[in-house]
Amino acid sequence: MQKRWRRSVKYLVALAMFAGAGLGHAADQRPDFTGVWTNYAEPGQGRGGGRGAVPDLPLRDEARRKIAAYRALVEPSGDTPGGHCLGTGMPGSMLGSGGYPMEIIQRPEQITIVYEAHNEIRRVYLGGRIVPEADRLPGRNGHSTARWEGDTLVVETTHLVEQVDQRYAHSDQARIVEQYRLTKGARGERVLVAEMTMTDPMFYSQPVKAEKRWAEVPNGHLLPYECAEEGWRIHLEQLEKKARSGK
Amino acid sequence: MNKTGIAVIVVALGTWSSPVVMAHHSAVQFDFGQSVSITGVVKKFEAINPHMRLVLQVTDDKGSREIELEGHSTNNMYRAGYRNGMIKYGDTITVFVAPLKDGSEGGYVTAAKTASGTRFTFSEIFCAETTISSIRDAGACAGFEPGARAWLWHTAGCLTRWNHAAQSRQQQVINGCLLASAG
Repeated sequence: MQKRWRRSVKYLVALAMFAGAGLGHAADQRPDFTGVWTNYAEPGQGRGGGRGAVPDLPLRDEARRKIAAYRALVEPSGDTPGGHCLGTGMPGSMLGSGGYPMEIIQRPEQITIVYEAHNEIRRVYLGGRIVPEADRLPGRNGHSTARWEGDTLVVETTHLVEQVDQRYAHSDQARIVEQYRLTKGARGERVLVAEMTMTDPMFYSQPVKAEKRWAEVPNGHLLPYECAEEGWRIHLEQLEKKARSGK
Repeated sequence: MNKTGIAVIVVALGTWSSPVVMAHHSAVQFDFGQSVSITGVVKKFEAINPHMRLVLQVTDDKGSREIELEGHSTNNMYRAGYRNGMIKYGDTITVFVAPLKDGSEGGYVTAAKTASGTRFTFSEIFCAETTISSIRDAGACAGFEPGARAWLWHTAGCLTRWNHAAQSRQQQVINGCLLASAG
């Protein structure tokens, strides 16, 4: 009786280990994107930060008017959000980020992406960490959730605010789906490929697609990016001047 | 704010306080197809984001005057090799700049030679292009002679390439300027 009981326990333990191994195998298929990444370029190609000519986009008339009005306003001075310490926002942050590197910190339930420029941060939630829709705060980088499809991470971003101040302008109705997967670069380095599809019926007559490739920087480090120091200094100078004048 | 933070601000004010608020220019206002060298005495220098600020006291045929310049972010300066204290008030330095398109004095710093002789470049061209054929390359490289220490600028990837200059990838990405100055 005791022997039979022991055999049953061994069987159950073996079964549990087998089941665990199976689950583990599924998780093992998921690549680890943790690390520092920079713009990827084929040998001999430029290594720009996603800047360049504005793509020909299937914009609706109203969107075209809004963008034209914005550009008419800033083009004489060349002002940009970045020049005023404002982050790019999605999808510009993932497509270029000013040519600065990014860091990915991957946990099973949350992937955190830090773009060095302007310290832009995206938190991508998975599984039980996903925030109910009603509790999501809209912003320039929106709210991102993700799921794994084999070795591909599928990230969906909604709750964006309208942005006419970036190359891929969009309304607050935009929905961006990114598909991240690993591949090898021409020099054998790890390359992260992100395929982006943005759907925005308010701004576009059809989905907009773009691709971004990042090369891994082994043992790379992001630098802090403070950007408001000058404004603070100027404000202090004004206070100092006011204090001196007694007014 | 803690005492250390206040102390830092006080020191910053003491160092950089100026009644003049420097004009901020955007990249479209500079002619990156040209490169001009300017030598002067540092009257003001701030390694800040999004753009470095520099005022040089320049004396030449046109007389003595202050010229306001700007350049890359602190982060890009750091990756180019700049470290705290390399440029100080009163130093005589030489910079290479993309001049303002409207012809007024000023420009965007693309390379610098410090008072101690350290040279570094912030020129995106080193990473954005691999040839030395353009005027921008020639201008940015003008401050470098064989044997000088130099850094690549723009992304962490470029810095990695410099740190691993002996690797084969060097030949694929490093242009004539760096090869000439990497001795």
